[in-house]
Amino acid sequence: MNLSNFFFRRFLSIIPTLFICTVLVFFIIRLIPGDPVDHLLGERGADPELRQELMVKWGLDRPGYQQYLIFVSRALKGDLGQSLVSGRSVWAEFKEHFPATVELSFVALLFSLFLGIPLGFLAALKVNSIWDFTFSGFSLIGYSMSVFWWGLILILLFSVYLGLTPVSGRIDVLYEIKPLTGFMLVDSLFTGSAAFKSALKHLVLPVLTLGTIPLAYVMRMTRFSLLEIFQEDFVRTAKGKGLGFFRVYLVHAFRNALIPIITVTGLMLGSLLAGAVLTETVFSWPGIGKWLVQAVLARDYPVLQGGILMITMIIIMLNFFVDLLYSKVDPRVFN
Amino acid sequence: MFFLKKVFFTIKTNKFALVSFVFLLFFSLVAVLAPWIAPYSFSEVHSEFLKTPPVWEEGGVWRFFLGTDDLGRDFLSRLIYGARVSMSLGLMVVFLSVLVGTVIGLLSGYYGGWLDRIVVSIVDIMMSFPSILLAIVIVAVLGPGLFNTVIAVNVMAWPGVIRIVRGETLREKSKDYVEAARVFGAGSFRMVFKHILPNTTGPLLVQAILGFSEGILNIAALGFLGLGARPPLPEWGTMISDGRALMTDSWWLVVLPGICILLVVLCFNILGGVLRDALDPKGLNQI
Repeated sequence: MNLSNFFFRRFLSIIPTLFICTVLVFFIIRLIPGDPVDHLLGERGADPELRQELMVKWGLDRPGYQQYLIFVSRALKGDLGQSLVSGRSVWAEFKEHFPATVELSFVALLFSLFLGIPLGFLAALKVNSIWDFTFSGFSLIGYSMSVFWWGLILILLFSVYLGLTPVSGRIDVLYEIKPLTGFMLVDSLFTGSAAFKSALKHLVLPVLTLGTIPLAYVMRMTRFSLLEIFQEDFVRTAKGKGLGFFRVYLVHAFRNALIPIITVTGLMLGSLLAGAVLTETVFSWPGIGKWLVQAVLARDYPVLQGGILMITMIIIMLNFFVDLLYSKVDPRVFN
Repeated sequence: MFFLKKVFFTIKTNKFALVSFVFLLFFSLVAVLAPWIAPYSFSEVHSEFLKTPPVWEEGGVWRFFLGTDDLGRDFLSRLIYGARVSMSLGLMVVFLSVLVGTVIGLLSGYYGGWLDRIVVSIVDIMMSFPSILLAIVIVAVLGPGLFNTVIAVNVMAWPGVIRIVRGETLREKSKDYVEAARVFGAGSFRMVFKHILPNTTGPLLVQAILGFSEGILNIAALGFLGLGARPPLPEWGTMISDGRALMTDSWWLVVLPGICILLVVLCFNILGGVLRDALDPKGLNQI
C-alpha cells in the first residue's frame, strides 16, 4: 500500500467514528433530567405561551431524530446553534475558549516531552543507577497523583508561601490585551514585555500541574523502549562497527524508540484534555474544560453538544496526524 | 492454585511489592475497622475546636492528632472514614468494570465479526476521548450522588478491561486446547467461560489492580468537581475540594487527604507493575 492509499483509507475510517460520536453525544445529552426551557425561565415557571414559543424556536418540540438531523445538517454548515444561557453562538464561544486550552495543553505537552525524553534517555543509559531509581521513583509518584491536588499543592508552595506566582487567571487585570490570536503569550507581546512576563507567570503553575503526569508517562515510556532497543542486534552491530556514542544512541537507537513515544503521545492527548478540565477548574483558567463543566451544570444542550462534537473531531484529527507521523518515522506501518 | 501461588511468590520476593501489599492491607483494615479505631465519628462537631492544626504545629492538641476542620470535626477520624468510602467505591468500580468488561471482551473476541468490529470502534473512541468529560456527562444525566459516580467511573474503566480480555481471548482461541475442547463437543458457553476465561486471569488481575488506582483517582476528581460524595460523608476528593477555600491558613485540610490518595494509588501502581512484569514476561500488555 502506498502513502496516499494509506492516507485515504485512514481518512475514510474517520466517518463512522464521527457518526457514532454525534449520535451518542446527541442522545445522551437528551437524557439529562430537566429541560433547558425550565432552566432558563426559572423554577416558578413562565406562562405556557412563552414556554411553547421557546420550545418551537429551539426546535425542542420536534421528535428526537428530527432534532438530530437538523443538528447534523446545521453542523455541516458550521452552525452549532446558540447557547441557551448567553444567547451567543456556540461557535463564537468555542473560539473564545479554545485558544486558552490549546495554549495550556501545548505548553504542558512541550514541557513533558522536552523534559521527559532526555530524563528517560538518561535513566535507560545508566540503568539501575541512582539516577535511574530517582527518575523512575519520581515518575511512579507522578502518575499516582490527583491532578487537582497537585495543582493546589503547587499554589500552596509557590503562591502562598513563596509569593512567586499568581493564583488564577491568564494575565494581570491591569493589562488590556487585544485578543488577536487568542494565545495570551503572543497577544501580550504586542502590549509590552511587562505584560508578556505577567502572562508567562500565570502560565507556569497550570503547565506544571497539567504537565507532570504526561511527563511521568513520557519518561517511563522512553526508558522502557530504549532498554528494549539496546538489546537489539542492530545496536550491537552499530557499536561493533565502531560508531561513536552519538551515532549509536541518538541516531540508531533513538529513532526506533520514537515509535512507542509517539504512540504514547497520541494516547496522551485525550488524557491531556481530561487533565485540562481539572487544571482549568483549579486555576480558573477560561478554557474549554471549564466552559463545558459549566454547560453541564446549566443544562446548556447546544453548548455541550457542539463543544463535545468539536473536541471529538479535534481528537480524531490529532490521532489521524499521529498515524501519519508514525508512517514518517516507521515506514513499515503501511504493511 | 498454581496461579495464586505464583502471585504470592512474586509479592513475597519483591520488596517493593511486599511493602505495597502490606501497606494496602493496612489501609483496608483501617477502612473495615473505621468505626472501632476512629477516635470520633466523622460528623461529630466540636464547636470549641475550629480549625485546630495538627499536634506538631503551634496550637495543636493531642485530642485531635491531625487537627480539625472548619466545623470542628476531627480530621483523623474523617480521613479514616474516608479510607472506607474511597476504597469501597474503588472496589465497586473495579468489580463492576471487570464484570462488564470481561463479558463484552470475551464475547467480542470469541465471536468476532460485526459485533467485534462495533465493540472495537466504540472502545477506540472511548480510549481517545477525555474520559472525565464522559463521566461528567453521565453524572449530569443520572444526577450527582455516590452511586451514580460509581456508575460513571465504572463506564470509564470498561475500555481498558475489554481491550485486555478481547486480546487474550483472540490469542487463546487459536490454541490447540480450544480446538480439542471443540472436538470433544464443548458448546460455546462452556468454551468461553470454562476454557478461555481461566486463561485470561493473569492480565485481568493486573488490569483490576491498576483499575483500582484509576478508579480512586477518578472518583476523587468527580468529588472535587462537586459531582461525587455529598457532605458530611467524607470522601478524600470531596474533602480536598471542601478544604480548598481554607487552604491558605489550614494547609492540612488539603494536603493530608491528597497524601492518602497518593499513597493508596502509588501502592496499587507498584503492585500492579510488579505483577505485570511477573505474569506477563513478554510485555504484551505494556502500553
